Amino acid sequence: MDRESLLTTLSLLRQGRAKLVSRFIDQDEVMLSDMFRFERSRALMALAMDRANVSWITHHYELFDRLAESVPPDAAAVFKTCVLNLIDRFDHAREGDLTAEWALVQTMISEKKSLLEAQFDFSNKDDLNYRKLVFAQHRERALFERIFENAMEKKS
Amino acid sequence: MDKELQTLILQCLVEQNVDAAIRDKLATSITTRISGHNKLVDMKARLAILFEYEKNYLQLIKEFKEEIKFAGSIQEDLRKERAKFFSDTLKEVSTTLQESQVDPTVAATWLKDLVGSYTKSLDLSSGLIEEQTIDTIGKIRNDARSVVKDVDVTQMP
Repeated sequence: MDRESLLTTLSLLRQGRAKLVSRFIDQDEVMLSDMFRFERSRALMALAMDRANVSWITHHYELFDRLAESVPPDAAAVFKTCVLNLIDRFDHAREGDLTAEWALVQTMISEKKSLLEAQFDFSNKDDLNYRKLVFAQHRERALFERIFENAMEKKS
Repeated sequence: MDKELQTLILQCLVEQNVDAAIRDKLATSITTRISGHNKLVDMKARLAILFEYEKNYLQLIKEFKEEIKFAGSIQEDLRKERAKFFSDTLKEVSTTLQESQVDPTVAATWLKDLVGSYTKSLDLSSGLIEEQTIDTIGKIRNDARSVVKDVDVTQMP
């Protein structure tokens, strides 16, 4: 990898880490309210963390998307691999969890991975895979709400 | 001492009918002087080769100076970021959660997850830098091999 690609990739990852911290410091509304809403349920709290983690991963390709036109192709490929590696952490984090909720989250994570693994051009907003990726973000938000509702209904 | 040379000199002295009483001493003395001279010549040649070798190495380091500096500086930046995260950032996040009155057990769980994600991202960055450093070392090694070839140290006396 050339120097420019390396610096671009490192910068994208650093911005990702900055986001990870700023959600706490700036008291992200969804995250903070989840901390109170589910403080009595370990399972729901774990789901809330999944939601925050999935949203953090999504932030990575939002970052990438913003830089898409200026990102060297080498950096694009390496950054994509890095994001896939980050996803793996969440995929393995809950090994042994057999709940229906985690199964749904896992499906979501797998879909996210295969979408990212696909070939696409971030700078082309008409690219089919790119559109699928954008659509997946909206779908994820709605699916998480549904998973929470189901889990809470089951509880009550 | 060079025994072969001494024998040769001794043979010459015999052929020239040099007095047997001084023949051995004379042969030893001549051998010692010639050996000393040869050693000096060898040493000079050896030093010239080593000098050439070192000169080429210095040239190589000069050529890669920027690359070495670059690798060092990005590694340093990442080390600083990691240290800052564990010394300041985590405390700041923890204080924010405390001030927001988040349950301490809940806060601890989220902090643990934050450390996991942050560290994973840092490790990925560190891996990329390592790859770059290995690439640079590989380039220097390749060039160093051609330095060895150019100087041909195998011909050293």
